Amino acid sequence: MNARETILNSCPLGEPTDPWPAPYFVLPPGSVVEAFKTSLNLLGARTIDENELAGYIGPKTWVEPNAGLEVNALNGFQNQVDLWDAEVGIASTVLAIAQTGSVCVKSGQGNSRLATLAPPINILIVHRNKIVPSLLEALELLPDGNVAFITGASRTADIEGVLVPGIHGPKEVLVCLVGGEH
Amino acid sequence: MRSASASKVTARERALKTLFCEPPQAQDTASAIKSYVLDHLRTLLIELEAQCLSNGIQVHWANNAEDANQIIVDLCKESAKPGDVIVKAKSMATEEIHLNHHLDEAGFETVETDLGEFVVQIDHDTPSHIVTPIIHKTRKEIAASFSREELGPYTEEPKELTMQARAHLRKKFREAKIGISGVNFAIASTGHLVLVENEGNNRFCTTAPDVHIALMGIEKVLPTPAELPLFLPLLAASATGQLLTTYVHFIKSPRQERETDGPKAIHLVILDNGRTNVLQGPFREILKCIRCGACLNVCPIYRQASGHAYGHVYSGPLGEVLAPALEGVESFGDLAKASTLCGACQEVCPVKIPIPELLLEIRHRANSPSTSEKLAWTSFAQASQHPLVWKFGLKLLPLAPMARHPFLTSWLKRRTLPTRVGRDFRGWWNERS
Repeated sequence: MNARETILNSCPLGEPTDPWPAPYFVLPPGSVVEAFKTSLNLLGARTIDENELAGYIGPKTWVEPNAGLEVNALNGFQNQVDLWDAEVGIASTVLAIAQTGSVCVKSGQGNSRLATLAPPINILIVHRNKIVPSLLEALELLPDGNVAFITGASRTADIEGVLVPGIHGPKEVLVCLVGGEH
Repeated sequence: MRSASASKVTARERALKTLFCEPPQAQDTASAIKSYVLDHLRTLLIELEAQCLSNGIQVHWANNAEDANQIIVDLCKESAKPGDVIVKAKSMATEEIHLNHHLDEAGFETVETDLGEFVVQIDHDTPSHIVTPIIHKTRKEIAASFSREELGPYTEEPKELTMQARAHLRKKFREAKIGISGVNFAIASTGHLVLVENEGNNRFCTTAPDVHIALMGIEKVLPTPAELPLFLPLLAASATGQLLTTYVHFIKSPRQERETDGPKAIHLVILDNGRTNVLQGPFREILKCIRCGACLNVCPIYRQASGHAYGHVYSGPLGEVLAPALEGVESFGDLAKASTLCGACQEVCPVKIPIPELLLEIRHRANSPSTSEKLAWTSFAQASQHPLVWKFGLKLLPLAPMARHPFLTSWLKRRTLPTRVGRDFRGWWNERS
């Protein structure tokens, strides 16, 4: 018998059971956009306006092709820097979660995983109408493919419990809110 | 270390109250889901395997640590040559099978990339906590290690030390041929490998190299993504008091045509290593564990003794059950005595594992005391009943640290004898009167 069969034969098949009760989340009060901003604040992630984006554009900025298509300030921008050496990375997102201040990024169609990881400053473009209240809705809408939820800057507290941002990924995460709420 | 544990305990409570209307109900539900998983393990693993295969993830099965190490070393040899860099994300399963040792033997440069694990690795130390591995080290000790390894100018500032590690490890990520990680949750219905972390090293390990190898215990499977809104925040809150970890990765497939980065091949190694035995025995509930470390932070014994005292990869209340459950009560049954049975561990456990009950069961099953232990107690009983022998023994006491009996030296490896202060009571009394 190979390892697969040995292991599986030692595991129970099980009978169908009743579904379990859903956990009740504390939902953020008020509009999801305001709640999302509050959560970002608690994480130390700033929100910026679309017109502030221009200030971050430079030779060491890396802009995801998709992000440029959606936002006026980035239209026509040409990347001149290797992603590994970029100082600012601007990326688009597919979802955001008000309860936790998280954004969901999806790899593929020009969207790179390193764009939200390698540059020390990371700007995430979030559409106001893509913000959902909690993880419940986010997992229901989970896009197909390789995706990730990002909640604030990369961080560690391994040395004497002192919180230090930017151990491996971005030291600073900025969220640029675009579009109308509905 | 004690204050570090205490602040995590408060942060945990605050996060749970922010997230859930009724935190105990969330814990009960999570426990029920994990019961379902253990009861349906075969069905779920078969489904997971089928989904992974159809998504392009290759699946391997390992009966024990030896097989798992062999599978992983062989996979590494296929895509890297001796001297090549392999980057590792933090994973208790890889600690459990002592993978690094095998990769080093095969000639690879294995680099732990979690900051804590990195420090443990350069110091040839072992982790003392399953979530925060260097909770036992001071900034001064870390500063000394970094300057010894020439990572940068000497500094004791956590921020600067962190940046030195960032620069060093960034080079390793860029060089690495293979990335190795654990798995926090594997979703049977979709084949997603779900990994959580705060540092971003996991994201590098599973993005930058061409090959990603993930190792998971059979119990890590969950039925559907619908269970994650409960488990993800429960794990984050219980581990560090966060609402959600900085990163949650949903890894579904190797790099697709329209992706610009990500591994070209993903291997999932499914590990038994004693778990199917535990599943059929009295300690099966411990397989619900999601490795959050909340029971360590709250345990009065762990807070005093720290992780190294347990002598096993898994420490704290969880280790007191898991170590003997996986490796036999004969070898690790003693660990179950390192508990006051106060029940704090069960109270904070996100999946409500009845740890005190399991500890009692282990104590009940553990072997009777060893011959040397019996001898020690018999001698003590005899001595305490015979004043002359007792007095003679007391006179010998100052000589105790000089004893070099092999039994004593092995016993003293992890213990420090208290220094004798002052003198014996009788002598003092006689002189006084």
